[in-house]
Amino acid sequence: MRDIRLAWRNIWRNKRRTMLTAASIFLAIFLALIVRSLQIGWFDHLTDIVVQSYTGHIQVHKKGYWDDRDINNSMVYNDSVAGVVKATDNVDKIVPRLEYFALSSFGKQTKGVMLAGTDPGKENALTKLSAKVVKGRYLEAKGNGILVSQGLASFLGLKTGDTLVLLGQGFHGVSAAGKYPVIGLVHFPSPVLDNQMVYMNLGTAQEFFNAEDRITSLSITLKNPDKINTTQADLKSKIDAGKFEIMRWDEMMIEVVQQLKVKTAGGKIIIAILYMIVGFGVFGTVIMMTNERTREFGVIVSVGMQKSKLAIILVLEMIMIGLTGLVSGVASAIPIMLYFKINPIHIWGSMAQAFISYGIEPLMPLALKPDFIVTNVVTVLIIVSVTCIYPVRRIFKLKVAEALHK
Amino acid sequence: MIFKIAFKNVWRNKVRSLIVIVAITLGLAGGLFTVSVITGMVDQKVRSGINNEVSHIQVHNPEFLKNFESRYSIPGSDSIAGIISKMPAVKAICLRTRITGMAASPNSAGGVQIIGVNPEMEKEVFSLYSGIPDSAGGFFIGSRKNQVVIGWKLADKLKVRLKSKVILRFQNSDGDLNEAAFSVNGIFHSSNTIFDETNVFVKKGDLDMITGNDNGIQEIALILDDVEKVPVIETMLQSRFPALLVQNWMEIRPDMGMITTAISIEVYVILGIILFALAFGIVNTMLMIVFERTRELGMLMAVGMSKSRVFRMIMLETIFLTLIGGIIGIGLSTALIAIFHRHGIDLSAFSKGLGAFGFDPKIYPFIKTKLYIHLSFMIVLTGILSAVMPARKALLLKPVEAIRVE
Repeated sequence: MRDIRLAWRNIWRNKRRTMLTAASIFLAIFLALIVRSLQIGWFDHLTDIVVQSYTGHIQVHKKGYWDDRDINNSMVYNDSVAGVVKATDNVDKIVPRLEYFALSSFGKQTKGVMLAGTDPGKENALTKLSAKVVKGRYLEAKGNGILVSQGLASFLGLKTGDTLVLLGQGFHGVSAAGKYPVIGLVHFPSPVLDNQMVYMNLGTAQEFFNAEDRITSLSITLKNPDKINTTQADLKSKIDAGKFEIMRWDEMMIEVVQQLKVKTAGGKIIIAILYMIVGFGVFGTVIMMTNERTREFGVIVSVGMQKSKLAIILVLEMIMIGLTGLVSGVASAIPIMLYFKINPIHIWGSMAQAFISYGIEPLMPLALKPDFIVTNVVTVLIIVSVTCIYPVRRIFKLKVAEALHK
Repeated sequence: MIFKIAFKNVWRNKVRSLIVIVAITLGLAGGLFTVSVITGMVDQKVRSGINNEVSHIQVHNPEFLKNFESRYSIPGSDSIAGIISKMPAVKAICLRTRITGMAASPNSAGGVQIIGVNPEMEKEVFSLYSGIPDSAGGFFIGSRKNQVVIGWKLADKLKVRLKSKVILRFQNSDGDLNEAAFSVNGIFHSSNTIFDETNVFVKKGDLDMITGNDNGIQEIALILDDVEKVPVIETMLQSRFPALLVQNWMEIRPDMGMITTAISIEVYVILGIILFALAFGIVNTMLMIVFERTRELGMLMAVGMSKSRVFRMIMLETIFLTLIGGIIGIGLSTALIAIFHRHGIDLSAFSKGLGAFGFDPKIYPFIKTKLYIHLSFMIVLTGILSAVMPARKALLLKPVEAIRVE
């Protein structure tokens, strides 16, 4: 206790020096947190987009479907399958879909499309498809009305109320053909989707493809996405793994995930460089502090203080200064992170256009999660402890006679 | 005189100066290296995009670009091509027929752009053919009819190999539906997965034979001897052929243009953050130095050194410190980048993700000379800015008081 009091008084004896050291630690944690928060926020933003715009967190398919997305790799879907999945812990929503390639034809124009048969209500709960309707109305559970993406509709010269002819290959090679009234147009920011999507309700699609009771995928969203691995394992134990594949979104979207990984790796390198710079900054101030106080150390040791005790007090001082810097750094970073988490930064100009063309909302939210704050606080603490080695060594090597003459 | 004193002062406390210098050196070297990797990646992407996919400038009928309907061809394409190829700076030119269609195998089907080419002309402009290894066939080897060259991704999707049959279905320029079997002559790999999935090449002669009419030329692509001349030639072409639409590579592939802008901004942000952190360290150190030398500075002023000289001395010390670190840092990173530029950095662990976005898995880092020049200015500026505060502190010292400070 007395040591703590001594250390406390020591650091306020020279306020200027203390403030400078604390300021360099403040900067270390502040910059690291903001940069990291930007990186993580961006990563989560992209994850949400992938999960919410299409895949869901987990999908169940017939084994081999993901590698070969063919109608013949569809699976039977009925209430008992749905019941098993729904009864699994942590499962939130499920969306059954039947998707396959078909040819669409209107007037003189013909174009390949991706035909998605889905449950209108469940689909909307996952991907908010009805919010993307720009003309006409959303899909209905009954009836054979279809939604056509805007890019495709403009290519075909199609309006709501027109009838689209669809041709294709159904289950087991049966030829599929049908005429469907267009009840609505949907717009997707990504041109790839906007130029090829046709939605109809699941029953109509099963009829068209002659695939009664069959679906190609069952998308599942989770209540707690952090427990995705446990839920995946649960599902695997309940569903015959020899017949079905149960995939996480990151197993399906390998290309997106790897791209994110490259970006994260790059971000970590930049953080490492940043830490190195501020680490040297802290180290520099500590060295100067030690040099300035060599004479003082000499005096204290010569009047009888044990070197080990002096070293302890010095480490305590460093901890106090370190904590001052850390606490103020974290305290100033959190409001900023919180603000931009709630009000994401809007990316503007040509860059925003590029994001939209990839189907990404041009927003940059910051992340605020306890785990990365803790990691960075620990890293800074480690840096501070490492810098303590220098003054402690100096104290133990101190030659009183020389120090007094400094 | 002041120069000499300032320079000698830098070396009075070697450890302290070295810490600052090392921090600047490593910070800059790390930052520049990271930047060079990013620049290398993007530059390779852009170059492979230009060489494999878009060329420097493309000319179309403006109507064609709306929906890629092949009936909107370029009238009088041969005479136009003759005029363009005689223009200065035009290295090569090729004429292409483009039709939207579908490629199918017994296993699967997908929408594609069918590009009808004259192989010899095509090779002058695009280097896609040179990336086809012997094991993957070639770019129209032999003189057999109905050969097609497809991307590896499409080959995967259709589950076809060399010499397999692929059915192409399309509307000709008169709007009639056609269908013909082609044999796979070569499988290309452009490092852009989307391109590899959605483009197939056939000989224009074969196309016209199948459709029984001349499908015309929808696209003229040209490559210049220098990418910097693109804007000039683009304007020349546009005024010469006002009825056609002339576009440069950035207009054709906005994502490529935007990633170039986005990255060049990111590069300066990274260097800015690093320099900011460094500046903070420098200010910190110099402030400590000024406080530590209060007595000495007071003495100098007392014996007649003018305040402006003291100010200049501290400014110079700071700038020297910054410049030494800056020069070593730039030197070190130049050497590093040169070494890695020769050997390349293999990122094939991530290549699936990179390929999807048109990146090469092997990266050859480099830095634009322009960036070095800007960076030198930024470093000098950082030095000057971080010198002002400590030098001002020195200026405010009162000699009488300063001498008495312990």
